Order: sequence, then C-alpha cells, then structure tokens
Amino acid sequence: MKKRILPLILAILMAVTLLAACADESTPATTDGDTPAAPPSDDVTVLTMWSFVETHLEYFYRAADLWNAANPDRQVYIDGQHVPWGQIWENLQMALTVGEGAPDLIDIEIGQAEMYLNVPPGHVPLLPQNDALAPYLPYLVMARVDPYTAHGNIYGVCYHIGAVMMFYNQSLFDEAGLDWREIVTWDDFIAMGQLMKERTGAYMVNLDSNLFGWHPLVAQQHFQYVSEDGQPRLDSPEAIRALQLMHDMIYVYEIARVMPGYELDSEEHYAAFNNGNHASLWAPAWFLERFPRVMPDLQGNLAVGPLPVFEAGNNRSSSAGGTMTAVTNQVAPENAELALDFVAFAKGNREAAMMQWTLLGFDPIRWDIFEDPAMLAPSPAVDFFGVEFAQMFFDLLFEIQAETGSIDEMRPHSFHIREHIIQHVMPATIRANDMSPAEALAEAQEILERELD
Amino acid sequence: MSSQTAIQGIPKRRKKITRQQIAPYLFVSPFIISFLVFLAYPLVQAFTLSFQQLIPFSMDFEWVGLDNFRRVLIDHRFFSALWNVARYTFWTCVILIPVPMFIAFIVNSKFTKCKSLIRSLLFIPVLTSTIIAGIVFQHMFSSEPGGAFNEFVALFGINPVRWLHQPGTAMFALVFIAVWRWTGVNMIYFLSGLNNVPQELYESAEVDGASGMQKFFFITTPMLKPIIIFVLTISITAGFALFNEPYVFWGTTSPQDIGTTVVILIYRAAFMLNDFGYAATLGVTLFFIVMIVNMLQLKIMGLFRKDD
Amino acid sequence: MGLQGKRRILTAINTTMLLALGVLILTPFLFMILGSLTPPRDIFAHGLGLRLPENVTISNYEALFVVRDGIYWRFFFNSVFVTAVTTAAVLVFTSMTGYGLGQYVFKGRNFLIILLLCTMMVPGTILLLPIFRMLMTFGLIDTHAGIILPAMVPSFAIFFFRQFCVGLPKDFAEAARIDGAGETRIFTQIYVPMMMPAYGAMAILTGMGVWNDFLWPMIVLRTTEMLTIAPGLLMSMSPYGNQWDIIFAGSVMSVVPIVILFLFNQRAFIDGLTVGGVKG
Repeated sequence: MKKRILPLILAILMAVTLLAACADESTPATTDGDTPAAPPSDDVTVLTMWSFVETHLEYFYRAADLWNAANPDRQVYIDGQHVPWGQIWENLQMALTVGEGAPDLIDIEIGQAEMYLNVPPGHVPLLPQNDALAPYLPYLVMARVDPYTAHGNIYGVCYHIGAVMMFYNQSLFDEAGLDWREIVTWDDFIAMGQLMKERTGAYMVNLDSNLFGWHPLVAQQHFQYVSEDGQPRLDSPEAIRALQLMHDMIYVYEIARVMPGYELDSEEHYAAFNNGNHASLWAPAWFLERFPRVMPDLQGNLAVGPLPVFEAGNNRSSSAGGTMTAVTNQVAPENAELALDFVAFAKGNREAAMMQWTLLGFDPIRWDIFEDPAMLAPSPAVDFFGVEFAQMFFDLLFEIQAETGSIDEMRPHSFHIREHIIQHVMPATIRANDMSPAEALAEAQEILERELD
Repeated sequence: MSSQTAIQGIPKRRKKITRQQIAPYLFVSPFIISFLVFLAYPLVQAFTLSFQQLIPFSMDFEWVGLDNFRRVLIDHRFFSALWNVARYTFWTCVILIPVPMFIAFIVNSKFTKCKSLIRSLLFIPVLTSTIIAGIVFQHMFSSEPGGAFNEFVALFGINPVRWLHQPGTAMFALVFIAVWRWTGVNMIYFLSGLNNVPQELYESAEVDGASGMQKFFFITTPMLKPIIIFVLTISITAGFALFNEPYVFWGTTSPQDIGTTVVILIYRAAFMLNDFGYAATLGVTLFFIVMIVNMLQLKIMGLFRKDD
Repeated sequence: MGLQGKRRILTAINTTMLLALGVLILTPFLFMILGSLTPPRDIFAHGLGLRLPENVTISNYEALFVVRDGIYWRFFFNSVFVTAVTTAAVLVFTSMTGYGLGQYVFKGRNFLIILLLCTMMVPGTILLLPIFRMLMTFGLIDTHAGIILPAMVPSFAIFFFRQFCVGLPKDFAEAARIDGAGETRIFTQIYVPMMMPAYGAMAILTGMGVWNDFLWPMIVLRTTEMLTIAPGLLMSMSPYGNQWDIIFAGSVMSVVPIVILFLFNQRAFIDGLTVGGVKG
C-alpha cells in the first residue's frame, strides 16, 4: 500500500496544478460593482474597456446611456474594468504586443501615450478617430487633441483641458488684507508673497518638484524643451528662467516650500495643503477633483485666477496632464466603426462633455459650454466650491482658452528626457539647493546629448 | 547445465544492479528537467534576446548585433545602478557576516539561557515580505519630524533628515532593512556550522587559558569557513539582484538614481518600455558581473584549493 | 567573587543583551500595528513613529472587508493556495533529488552537484524574460500555475536536502535491499521519516519565500483578482488607488499567519536547519 505513496502524491500534485491552471482560465474577469445592471441582449454591442480611474468608467457608462438614447439602432454596452496604475500599462503593452487580450477601448495617460504613438507609421496599435471626430472638432480645444495626434491621425481625445491655474486660499488673503487680483506678473506674485509671509507667517506657495511645477512656466513662454526631432534643449534661456524662478521663490525670497511628498498627487501634499497654511498653488484644473475627496477642510474657501506671467505676450495658462480614450486594433472588425463613433461622441458630444465637469469635476474640452448656465447647476464640484467659484472658474476658462499651449510630450525621447529631469535636475535645484538651475540644466543637457547621440 | 545456471544467474544479478543504477537518475530527474526547462533553455534565450530588438507591437524580433551592448555602455543609469548594488552588496557582506557570526557564537555559548526564544525572536523579521517591510520602513524613514528615525536622531539634537532623498541616507536605509531582515537567518546558518565544531577544541583551548575572544577568532572563525563561503555567495547573488525594497521606496525613478538597481532597470525596460532586447542585455551583463565577482570571491576564499 | 559567580554574571549579561536585541528587532512590527490603527492621512502628515495615534481607529481593518468588495481576501486566499501547492511540490521534488544526490554513488553525480552549485549563483532575474515568454507560449500568463511551475525545484532546497542526506547512514538501505525492498520503498519508508526535521525546516523556508514573493507574481499575474498579497497590496498604493487604509491592516494580517505557523513549529524548524547544516 505505502509503496505507492510517492507516485500518488505526484499524481495529486500534478492534478492540483493542472486544475489550478484550468480554474484560472475559467474564472471570468469580474467587473466592478457599479457597472450598469442592464444585461446586454443580442442587438446590443458590448465594448470592453480598461481604465485606471474608476470614475472614468462611470463617465463612459453614462455616455453610453446618452448614446443609446440618441442611436436606438446602434446600442452599446460598456463592460468596464478598473485596472490599477502600473498594472494597466504592463497589461496593455503585453496584450498589444502579443496581439490578443486587449480591450476594445482603453484609457491612455498622456505620459504613457508616447509609447504607443511614437512608433513607425503602421505600427500604432490603435485606430485613428479622424472621421468619427470630424463633427466635433470645431468645438474642441485643439490643444487637447494635438498631443494624441501622430502621423497625421488623431488617436483619442482627453477628458479635460487640464488648464493650469492659480488657486488661492481666500481666507488667508483676507487675513493678510491682500488682493490676489492685483497679481499680473511673477514679480507681483513674489512681492505679494513676501507681504503674505510677513503678515500671516504662511508660505505663498507649495512647489511641485516633479513636472507640474516647471512645465507650465516653460510652456507659457511658448517654448518646447525637446525639439521636434527629439533633441533636448534644456540649456535654453526659457528653461533656465522658469527653473530659476521656482528656485528663487524657495531659496532667495523664501516665500515657497517644496511640497511635502514632492509632487502634486501625493498624500503628504494633500495633508499639507488641507491644513490651510499655504496661500496658493498652481495646478492643472483637474486637481480640483482631489479637493472634496482628500482636502475637505478647504470647502468654499478657494478662489481661482490666471497664471502670472514673466512678461507681456506670455500665456496666462498652459495645460498639463491628461488621458485619452483610444480604440485598440483588437476591436472586432464589425464593431470598429461603432466603437470609433461612440468614443468620439463620448468625449465630443455637448451633453456628454458637460459631464466632464458635472460628474468628474474637470475643465471640459468643449469651449462652447463654458458659459452654459448648466455648469453652475448643483453638481459635486459646485456644491463643494460654491457657485461663485464655479462662475469665476468658467469665466477664466473662457478668457484663457487660447492660452493653453502645453509641453508636447509626444516628441521622440520625451519620456527619457522627462525622466532625467525628474531624477536629476529637480532634486538638485528645487528639493535641495545643491546646484544652480543653469548648472543643473547644462549638465543634464550634456548627459542627454551623449546618451541620445 | 552449469552454463545455464550461469545464464539464469546473470540476468537476475544484472536486473538488480540495473534497478539500483537507474534509481538515482529517477530521483534526480526533477532537477534535470527543471534545469533544462527553467534554467538552461531560458539562459540560451536570454543570450539570444540580447542581440535582438522587438519590433514595436509585434512578436517579431530583428537582429541588431551588438547595438544593445553599446547602449549599456553609454547608459549612465546602468552605471549608477551598478555602483549602487556594488555598494549595497559590499555593506551587506561586511555587516551580515561578522555580526550574525558573533551573535551565533554567543547564542551557542554555554553561558547563555533562553536559547530557543532568542533564536526565534531574531528569526521573525525574515518572515515578513520585503514589500511589507519596505512599506513600514518607508514611513519610519519619513522626512517629517514624526517618523521613527527622525524621532530617534532628534534625541541627539539632530534636525529631521530626508532619509530617502539623499544618497548616503538612502543607502543606509537599504542596508538597514537588509541587516534587520537577514541577521537572524545568517545566525542560524552559523549556528548550524557551530554544531559541527568539536567541543574538544574549545575545551583544550580553555585548558590553555584562551579567552572568549581568542576562541572566537582562532577556533570558531576558521571552522566556519565553509559557511562563510556559502553566505558570501548567496549574499553577493542577492545583493546584485536587489529589487523589492528600492522599488517600494522609489518605484523606477528615484532622485539622482539613489535607488536605481540593475534589476529595476531590467524591469523598466521590459515591462514599462517594451524594450525586451535591451532588458535581456542588461540581464546578461549582470549575469557576467555576478559570476566574475563570485568566482573571485571563491578564489580568494580558497574554495578551489585542492587540499580542502 | 568565585568562578561560579563570574559565570552567573556572564550568563546574565549574554542573555539580557541577546533578549534586548531580540525585542529591538521586533519594533518595526510595533510600528506596523500602530500604523494599522492610525488613519492613513495622519501617517502621511507626520510619518510613522513611536506615539499613540491621536485618533485610534479600527476602520482600517473594516476596510479589508469593504475596499473593492473585500478584494484583500482574494489576495489572501490566492496566496494561501499558491503557497500550499508550491511548498508541497518543492518538498516532494527537492527531497527526492537531494536524496538521490546524497545517498547514491552514480556516474555524473559530481557533475550534477557542481551544476547545482552553479545554478545557485545565477541571479534568477535574468531568466525573467525568457521564462515569461515561455509561459506566454503555453498560455500560462495570468494563471497561478504560471508562478507555481517555475518555482517547484529550487536549487537551494535540493542542496539543503542533499547536505542532510549525506549525513544519514547508508546501512539501512543496504539491509532493506537484501530484504528485497524496492528503491522507492527504501526512500519513502526508511529515509523520509529520518528526514522529517529537514522537511519541517524547508516547509517553513519555502512557504515563507512563496508567501512573500513579489516580482514574479507581479509580472505573471495580470488580473487584479488573481494577485497574491504582496503585489496586491502594492497595487493599492498606486496614485489613483486611494486604498491606503488597507495597506497597514493588510500587512498585519499577512504577517500574522506565517508568524503563528512559525511559532508553533519553531523548535522543529530551527533544529532541522541546524542539524542539516551547510557543509562546504
């Protein structure tokens, strides 16, 4: 009897392992709880979608409702799956490389988009949306379409403009007896910052030492630090001037601090800004979405204004961050046209685009809805910030819509160059005062030139 | 007739011999199969891949000759990474051999009580995953004054330190976790070695009036040489392959590359940039470096000496 | 002071110092538990230090059941499954091989032992990509089999069992052979019982390694629902994850079972390790 024990164990093991493999394959990918309950029937086309943000999926479920109401003969159902950041890019790259396993629709963050768009023509694993978008293009802020354009094709549209604005802590200004509306240039900003610190002890601003601090200041001077053929231009006056300003705010005028946690989206920064000890913050408008969730103490206390400028002719804003929704080349051929039409509708349709504010709390990409009274109607954002703020916000958006040019993150080697700046330039100049901005940028330029030959 | 019995006898004997001869091969077959499938074949593949480049979004590879290796040579992040793991390996070896050896020596001493409790306590850290230990230490090494390590240095009047954002302290943090985790394990290895040291050696030394320290340096240390070699080998291999802790602390981009390791670069190239060929090249380069370091170490430690 | 007194003092010093070290080494666990009782926002605002949290909360533990419908327990049971199967497989295969290498003299044995030692020096990470491609070919990506199969025959464990078996007497096998016992039977009925301490030690070492493994599961497993604890918890740290509340509570819960398992078996475990030993 016992003689057979070893083969028996082996057999059981093999069986268990195999069973495990089989069980794995048969486990259906469970979707999130908030998927609309309506079971898809035969005449409804199911489109799968991945996103790293759950509310983006919610947006698409509602967009599908709008679409279905308008297109009774072309019904869609979105089968959404939330995939955490990091994992989503690995999975997507692999699925698109292997040729199977990718969803029909995919959210691609702007910093990742280069990986999919900056490949030789014919290798982009996404479908062009040019035709489907044509009816909406006249209404869209083109600055938000250009980043997702490659080889003359548009592969997706953003959820927002990501217009960079100056957010002010109103009660601190009241306390100091200062009016932020008087700020036009960065010099004004610094001068008022010194008064602010003198009168209240509060820092004027928290600086992001990733790229959300520096990019807008470079972009507002109409400058690109990566040339079109992918060469770095970090030692240029514009790049240095922007970094020097940030550096001086901290180490010369002492009106600013590096953000705890070092970047805009870090829990440490949320905690610090929520304390109310910082008078202002420049950030893309989508950052508003964070306030109700993680900085609740600032309810009703924010005001918003344009970005100060270095000199006349500079943009008073820029745009930063973003996520496009693309159709992958793995969509079933018979569904491709529907998928493209639907995605274009979801981002570009007037009613759908309104949800970018009313549902997501972002600055919408359609300029013709900025002045629509519906934007002031109750919504999570309006409830939190107040109608007055919403009015100020949309007036500003309307005013600066032509001034939202951004750093083009799709140029060759952009990913590499950005990574180098984050890792080497920012720590040495902003987080610590180890090198002057000019030195650090010149050194980075030299290293990158050598590496990118 | 006699020949027939002989014939009958031979197959019988031969059969028995055969069975006993085949048995060991069957017993070791799992190793041979796993070696071929999960080591030899992938190793060959890794070498092949290092001369290739993936064509974007296809499963096709093109031959690029030595291009990938040329890229390694001009990649400043690779050299930062190599410098980091070399220092890390150096410090872990320098600390994680003598210290656990000394602790094992004391634990093993007849003047120590509660031996099994002590052994267990020291062993517990290694039961936690490096990820979980990493998350906990990340917040203990917080730059804020309320982080555990800043609370500690404050006792000496030192201002809060940005532990994970400066080169020296970042390396300290990495080595600290390693020491915390592995002291207990290495101590157990040395304890097992100490069991093989004949007690008579100590007794005769005591008769000669040797002190505890003298016994440690002149009896224990030489007798533990095989264990030292073993621990050195696994420490070098693991040190150069460092990934988990820096990945938890900094992800793939750390300020001034203070937390970049070769494996982090491999991971980044392969799974973030889809640059399989380059990732494989980094892997092959690491392989040769680790092999060379280990061979040197073994040679210096005298493993290949014939008289051993 | 007599010799007796001196010895007593030495014993006291040795023991207290070591016990103090043992307690000191456990402090991170204290921080972990404190962290699990603190609202995540407080940890970010102040760091994790030695102070009682202002707002003690057990909501982090409740979150384990709430966040994404208790996804944490999916991670947990995936880990249990993978650990159990891998450990069982490792024990069977490596003890067989170790026994073969330690108890038999056969052609190629020394070659295999040298090969074994060499494989221990290969950094596993360089094989990441080729094995990943191989798993892809066999459709094993995103399956638990994909992380179990490559981990079933670790060289380290073979080497350990081999060292253990070298020390076992050979006479039993000879006697059994004369009685007509087969080779399998000699192994399972005579040697396996003798190797029990080694099994105990390896079970804990392997189990611990698999339970805590990170890089390979993170690469192979693609669906959130398939993840094991370590990568699962790290995923919750993503910038858009906002699931900080489950991290410390989840860490505590993942450490508890393995510590309990260890404490129950620690005697057998450490004895097994030290008896087996590593002989050059």
